[in-house]
Amino acid sequence: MQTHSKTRIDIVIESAAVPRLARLLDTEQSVHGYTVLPVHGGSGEHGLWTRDGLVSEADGMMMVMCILDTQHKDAVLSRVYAFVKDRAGIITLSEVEVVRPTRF
Amino acid sequence: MEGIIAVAIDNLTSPMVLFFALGFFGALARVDLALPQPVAKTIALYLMIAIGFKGGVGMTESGAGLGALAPIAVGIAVSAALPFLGYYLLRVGSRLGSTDAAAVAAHYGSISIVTFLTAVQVLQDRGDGGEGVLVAVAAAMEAPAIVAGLWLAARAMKASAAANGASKGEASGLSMREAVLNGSIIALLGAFAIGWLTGPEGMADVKPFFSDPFKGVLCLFLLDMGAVAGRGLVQNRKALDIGTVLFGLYMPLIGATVMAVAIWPLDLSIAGKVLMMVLAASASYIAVPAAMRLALPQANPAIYVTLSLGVTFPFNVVIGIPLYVAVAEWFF
Repeated sequence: MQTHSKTRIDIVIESAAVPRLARLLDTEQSVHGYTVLPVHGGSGEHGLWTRDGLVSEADGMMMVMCILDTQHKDAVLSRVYAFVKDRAGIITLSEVEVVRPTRF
Repeated sequence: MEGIIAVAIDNLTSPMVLFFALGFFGALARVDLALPQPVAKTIALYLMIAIGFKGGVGMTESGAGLGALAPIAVGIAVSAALPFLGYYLLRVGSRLGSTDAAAVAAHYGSISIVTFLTAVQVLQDRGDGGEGVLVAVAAAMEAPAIVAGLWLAARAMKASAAANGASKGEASGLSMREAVLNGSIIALLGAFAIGWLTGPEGMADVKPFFSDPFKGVLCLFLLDMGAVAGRGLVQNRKALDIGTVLFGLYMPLIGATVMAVAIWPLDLSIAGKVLMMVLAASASYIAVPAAMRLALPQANPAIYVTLSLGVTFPFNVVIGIPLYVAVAEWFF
């Protein structure tokens, strides 16, 4: 089966910030969609945490994943970074293969 | 003094406080008694709808008119004013920087709905759960402190940038929707409106679900809150210096005192005045942390969440509520 190279951006960010990040991605023409995944727990600067030990969803983390054309990654990355840089969060990029390139 | 001790003993031996203590000390002993997050969220929604509905029915029964607006106006004013006092006290008495102090201060102008629920139940057990309008006061007092806290933070950041020439970023604004229209407020006010519209007939229909199990469900929720509070304290205690911890203990007393003076001339029952004091003494750990994470990401959540949930909430549940009841009965 023929596949096509794209770039995947994963953003782990506080749940409270996800709606704003989603609106930012909605304004990016090169981002045709994204997926939001709940994060069960983790360990970081403030120690171990899990979803079940949180008072509200706003205290937890979510992962936003989007796949886009590699030629647009720098423009999207700079906007995403400007949003994330003052917050708790992680941005990672990876090269992926997709089957239906017109979707991304 | 005997009155205070009697109320304190009643409170300490109540199922609500004992379940809270079970969760809290369980967490300190590294035993996980926290409920799954969707279950905790469902229970929180149930409690807010139940108390909102009951408050609305209370408004029908009391025939409250425009005079009911006075406690709401006083509540909004106190909620907006307390962050300024709290900010000053933190800057003088703790090691917190200006941004963290502003974020913490915003929490203490806002309210804890669970502390309010617990106080309502304590007062109900003593024969009077307070006026229905207090639910609307609780909803009204959530947001003004957020605005005040963000104003303080923005001013502090500007001053810091002007002095040092380096910017730590800005406090981003909050839309009206983000600041005011959160799920807690909508559930509370919506149920309040429905209770007001349907009155005692509506209460008779839903009493087996929304009224009779309320205390037991509250016990379950307080077990979870105790576990979460204890866990937060264990994990983040190093984020709090002694001055900040003391603030978490004395600011509720200051808030209650400010409110007691403000409501002195109002036409409210003793129970109603106790609830107003409890609202001013409590600190938010749901709505305001979410707003701070959004608009003030430079502030450290480990400080403001741990302080309001791990220090102030247990203080109010165990010691504060009986103290405010005893003082109100003496003062008013």
